[in-house]
Amino acid sequence: MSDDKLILVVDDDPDLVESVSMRLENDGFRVVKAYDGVEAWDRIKEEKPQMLILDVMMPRKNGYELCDEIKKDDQFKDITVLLLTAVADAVPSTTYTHMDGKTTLADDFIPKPIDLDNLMEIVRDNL
Amino acid sequence: MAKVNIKGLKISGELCLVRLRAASRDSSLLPVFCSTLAGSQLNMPFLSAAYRAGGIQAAGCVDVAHQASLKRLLDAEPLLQKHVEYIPGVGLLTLFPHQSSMKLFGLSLRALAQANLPVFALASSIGALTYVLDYARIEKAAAVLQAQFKLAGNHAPFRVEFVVSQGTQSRPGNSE
Repeated sequence: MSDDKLILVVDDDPDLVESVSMRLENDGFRVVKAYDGVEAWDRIKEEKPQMLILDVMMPRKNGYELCDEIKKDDQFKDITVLLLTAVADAVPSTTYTHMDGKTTLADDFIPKPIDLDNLMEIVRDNL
Repeated sequence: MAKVNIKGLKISGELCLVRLRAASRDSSLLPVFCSTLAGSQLNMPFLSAAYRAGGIQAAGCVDVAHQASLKRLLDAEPLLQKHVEYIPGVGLLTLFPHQSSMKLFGLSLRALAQANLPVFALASSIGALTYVLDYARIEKAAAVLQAQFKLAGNHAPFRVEFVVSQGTQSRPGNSE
């Protein structure tokens, strides 16, 4: 059971947002959606989700920046952040990944292209 | 009447449209067309294909910089030569979310038609509705749709800021 957990899905690809959201809803989660990092911050403040599924490359504010801002904010730092990343060298044994000189803190990583069954395992493991 | 809400619009960079049209339902045409495109290793931000009662119709778009490469590849395939046409100077205008909304589809198509903006191709997916339009008039088309729908206040910019592509090259201003 999902216990009505609220998950915010953030990606600038509308098809990815819809497909991930549909799978989460089918498994009993509540879902809100955003299409870039700036809009995501608005949704976080309004909806206070328990988890973010967050793309890295997005307009206006990328996933690394948003993740760091969330983790530095006392009000929101406990939100679980799963970073969608195509980065081959993401290190699953730590909470850090590295790309283009940027280091960010996330609770876990979901490799792209997304395997929805794998996604659901990672979501459940982190809630 | 209240306007239909949308979350955003996206405008691609300039693209070249290639269309496959055949009156017959020759079953080998579409696989040859698709496999040739796939083998080209060119990124395609748009692709649609359909068998219809009247025959086969397919459409794909590549970055305008790859137009010559695409033409060289497809023209080398004898089966396709009589059935392929190229339309340079097009762009993609994408509305989202779509979620199979016939109302969104009808209102947007009517608005484009009333503004005398030709639609070369279109495709819908679970998340988005995409029109292939004249690139020179794509800003006008975006304005027409903005007037038709209620856009979210804090929407992302219409123009794509970066491109993610398979391969080694990436250029700003083109769609993913």
